[in-house]
Amino acid sequence: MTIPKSVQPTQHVAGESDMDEEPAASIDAAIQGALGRRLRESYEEVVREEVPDKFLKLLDDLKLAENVGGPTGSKVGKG
Amino acid sequence: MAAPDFEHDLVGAISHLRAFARSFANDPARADDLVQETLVKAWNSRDSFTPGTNFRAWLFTILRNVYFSQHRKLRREVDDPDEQYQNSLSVPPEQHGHLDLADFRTALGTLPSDQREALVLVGAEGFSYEEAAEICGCAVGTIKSRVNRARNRLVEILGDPELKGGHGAAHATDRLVKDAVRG
Repeated sequence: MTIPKSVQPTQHVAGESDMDEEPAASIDAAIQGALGRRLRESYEEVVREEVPDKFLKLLDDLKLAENVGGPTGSKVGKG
Repeated sequence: MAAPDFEHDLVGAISHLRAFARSFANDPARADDLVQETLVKAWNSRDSFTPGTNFRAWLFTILRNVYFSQHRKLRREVDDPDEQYQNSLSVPPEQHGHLDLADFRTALGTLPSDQREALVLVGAEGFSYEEAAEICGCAVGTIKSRVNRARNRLVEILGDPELKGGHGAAHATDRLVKDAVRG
């Protein structure tokens, strides 16, 4: 009972009448450039944060779990 | 990919996963939960990664899937915290002379999430439109249009008297233009 993609309504695209005037290209480019820098700055601020230890610990645990459950045998069971 | 290489690349990508996760969940703790689950999924399905393809794009796709599967559950069960976040941000930032990062983030938070995601992938992470489309599972044209709408909306929110004939936003625009000129 899935609807084939071809039957789904296409997304409405805003008509050109929504945007009466083209902005001056140079100002537009300048603002877009500044916005882009703000965006990267804001994102990079999080990227540069120190990665909390819990993530590395998690990966260690995942590795450990694999080794314990691995086919090379473990100490599980009576010794 | 050999396990040590995989692990090395995975560790290297954590900081980017955290940043990307914040574009879904503004609460840093919730964003980190997303990253943790992504790491587990990535580790367990590392055999399905094709060496030579974009590792970060592969990880981002997983994070996205994790987010949306949690999100669907949340929407059924309780009030959606991310929706509340959206609502709390529905008021544009006040203009007070300059556009700082906090204002920018607030404005970014008011964007529809699909637009914000597209903008972050292309504008902040530097993915190509094609890569972003693959991560989001949509057409390249859709990504382009989302990015464009996001940019236009940000200019609208952050104010631009030249374009909108608005008032009170002149300083913000001045600042933006000066920044742009300074390079």
